[in-house]
Amino acid sequence: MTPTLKALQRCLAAEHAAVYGYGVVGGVLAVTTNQSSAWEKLAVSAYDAHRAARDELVARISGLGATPLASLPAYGLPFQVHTTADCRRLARLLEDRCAAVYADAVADTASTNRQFTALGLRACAERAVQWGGAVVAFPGASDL
Amino acid sequence: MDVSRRGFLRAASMGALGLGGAALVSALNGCAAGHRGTGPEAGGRSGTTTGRTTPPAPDVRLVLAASAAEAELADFCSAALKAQPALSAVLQPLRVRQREHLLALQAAVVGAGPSTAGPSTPKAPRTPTVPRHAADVVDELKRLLSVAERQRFDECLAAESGSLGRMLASVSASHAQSLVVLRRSS
Repeated sequence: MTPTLKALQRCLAAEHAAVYGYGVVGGVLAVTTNQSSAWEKLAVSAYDAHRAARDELVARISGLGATPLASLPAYGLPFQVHTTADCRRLARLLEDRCAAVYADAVADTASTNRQFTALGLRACAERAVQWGGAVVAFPGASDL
Repeated sequence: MDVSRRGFLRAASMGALGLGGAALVSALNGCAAGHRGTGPEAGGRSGTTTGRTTPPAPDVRLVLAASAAEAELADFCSAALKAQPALSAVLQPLRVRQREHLLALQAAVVGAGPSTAGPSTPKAPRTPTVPRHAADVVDELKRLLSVAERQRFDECLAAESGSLGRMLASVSASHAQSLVVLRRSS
């Protein structure tokens, strides 16, 4: 398996988990906030973005002649999610983790795949801030 | 099956809320933990990011250009801080991040040598023009950050070294984060 394929598969695994996690976030926000709340709108937007990224990754991996990783049936949560604050915390975590995966993938890709992964990093970093996260010097690359 | 998004979100939530453990984080971490690039995809790209290796000469030029641009942004922050102390909540952390960006970029070319790192004579001090009104300072800051965000992104795509590409992509993303905050507050 080439470094590019490995990187894209890791991104796909992260996106599967993010889509699942945002399912949790959206479900809890649907109960704890108004349907038109800014948080719920952000959750729906982020959910759509991660689904689109997942689908794009599936297409890219298939285009390389490989079988895209399937999502797991369910994912355990790192903490219980009951409140809007819990949702925001989980969403920040999802975005931070995805940002790290995309940042690493940038190193192992080139051309359009590097562009895609760098855009993924940027999108995750922006959403982490939209959820209330802090601006950091090196999103997705805290080792720098 | 035609399921509304809201309904789907709720259904997914019901299935997941009862689960404990850290599998979700593991799934995400499994992608990133312990991995900092394993090798080239094409064109001789190097992907090692755990240690800072000396980048190839074309990358040194990229780093020098990025460093100069990031230094100019830092200089603007410093000058704006003097002119508009009321904006310190915005400018101070931005200036700190700029310094971190500069340090990381400088570290990326350590060992590249004077032949590739360019002339050693220091440049004349820059004197950035700072608008007189706070709102205009913020507008100028947004403009400069937008330019820097695009430039670092383009440099990321041009970098031969995978590790340098990762750094530049991250710096670009940091600027994008700053823009989110500035646009939200203005």
